[in-house]
Amino acid sequence: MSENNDRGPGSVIDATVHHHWASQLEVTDHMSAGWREQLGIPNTLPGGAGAMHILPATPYRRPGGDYLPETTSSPTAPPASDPEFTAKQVFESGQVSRAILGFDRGMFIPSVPNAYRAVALARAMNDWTIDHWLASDDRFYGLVMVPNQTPLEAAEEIRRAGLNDRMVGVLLAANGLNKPFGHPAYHPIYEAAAEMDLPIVFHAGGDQSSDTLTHPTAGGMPSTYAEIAALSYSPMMTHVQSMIVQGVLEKYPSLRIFVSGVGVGWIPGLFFRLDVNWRGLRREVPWVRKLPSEYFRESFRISSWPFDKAPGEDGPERVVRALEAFGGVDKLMCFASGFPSWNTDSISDIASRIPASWHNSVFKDNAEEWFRWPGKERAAVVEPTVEVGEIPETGELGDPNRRTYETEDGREVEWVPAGD
Amino acid sequence: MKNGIDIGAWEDFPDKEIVRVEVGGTVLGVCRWGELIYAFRNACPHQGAPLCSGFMQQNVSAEMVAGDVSMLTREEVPVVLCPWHRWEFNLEDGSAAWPGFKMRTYRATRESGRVLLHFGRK
Repeated sequence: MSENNDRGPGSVIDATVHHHWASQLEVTDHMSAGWREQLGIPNTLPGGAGAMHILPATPYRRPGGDYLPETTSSPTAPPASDPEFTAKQVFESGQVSRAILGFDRGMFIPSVPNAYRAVALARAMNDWTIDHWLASDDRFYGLVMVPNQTPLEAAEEIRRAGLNDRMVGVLLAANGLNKPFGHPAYHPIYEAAAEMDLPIVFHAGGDQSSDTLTHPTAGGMPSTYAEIAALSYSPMMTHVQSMIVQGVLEKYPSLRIFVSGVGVGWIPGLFFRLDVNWRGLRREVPWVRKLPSEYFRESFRISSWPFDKAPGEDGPERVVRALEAFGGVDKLMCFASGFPSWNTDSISDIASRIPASWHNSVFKDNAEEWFRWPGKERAAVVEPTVEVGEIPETGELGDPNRRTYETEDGREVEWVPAGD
Repeated sequence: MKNGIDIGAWEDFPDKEIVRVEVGGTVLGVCRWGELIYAFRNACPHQGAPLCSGFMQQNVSAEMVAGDVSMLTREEVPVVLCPWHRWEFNLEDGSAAWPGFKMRTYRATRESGRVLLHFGRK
């Protein structure tokens, strides 16, 4: 592992910082008069009442705190809700030159039950990010929050807010339609993102609100935050597989995806299975014409945070060895701190856990290449070369569902596949 | 009939059907595809499944042809699909849809109405 863990000034891009509002008025002030009236003003009634909370509650909180201590400028404000204070903390080492803001619990909002309110709130949150955060420090960059339960409106919002040069991607966190993200219902979002040359960012944790349609870990509702912290990658595997198998990357060949908040340790296992199964199952999805792992290497990048940490003194070596079983992860992984989350990763810690030869690509080059930074010309849309969803006739001979064949001892055996 | 093992008359091999043939203890799959005839070892290189119980299909690919965005099947490229995991192999040269495994193929020819099998290098 690396010995020299000091990164030079400005040599790091932080791909995930979570920003929040000190008061929801900051966001609702960007809404129409009608919405402002309906949502109300906090503290105009006794006991702090007077407004509807725009933020859904989450049943999952970490005992001891969800955030690093002392990340607020005032004891009553949420962590990372003061742009100047946050900039000081994120950039104080001098190593970070750019940080991408990805919302904190604000990412629950696309799944609130009132779809019209979700659309209005997403617009307001994007305008608030631009006015309140991007204007306060030119090292901050934003992601377009989209109300993905209404994909057409989401696409419209990408085309509107994505015009801002400092919006470098599109955020999909809460799963508004309760379908894997590769489902055709979501495709208008990808069409708009490809058109605007903005990468799609999948962020874990959007499904932790009490209004959630999908579970934050696969297989059923977890009971505790501890379960989520360990298994947040499980629904992400569903999304990654879905994007590849449903042909999103053939339909929108220039689409780029960034996965944040789930670490990297899950990658080898998923693709060992997916690649080998594809050999035998590809006729079900003939538009998937490359190994699934090839699509992953070409169209996905992953945040390092929260980096997988195996126990024991040789823990870091064992994690890197596991990643090497997939290979090329140094070209896929982008440093992210996750600030101000309780499990924020520091630059020096991550640098010490990965080989020195990975540093330049992980800390800067991969993110530099992936996001649409200001001044970078928007790349043209690449047209598909295959009809996703079309099933051609392949002339399978004999009835594949019911056939007989001779066994070695001369008996005739009828072969009936399961489910028939 | 030079250098070939006679495995039957041309008529013994119905079009687009896999016929199981035993030659000196080695079991082969032999199949006709129109005027062509192919032979391959009755064992999938993946896990040894009996390929004779597999399926013949046309190759399917997703290459763009002359600017046309569609899926393509090729009548002239027959493949055999393994009955266990549906891995598929080109009958002409045994190549798999994805490199790494190869089906063993043999040369079969038609001479004077008989089908001859040639072991050894193709």
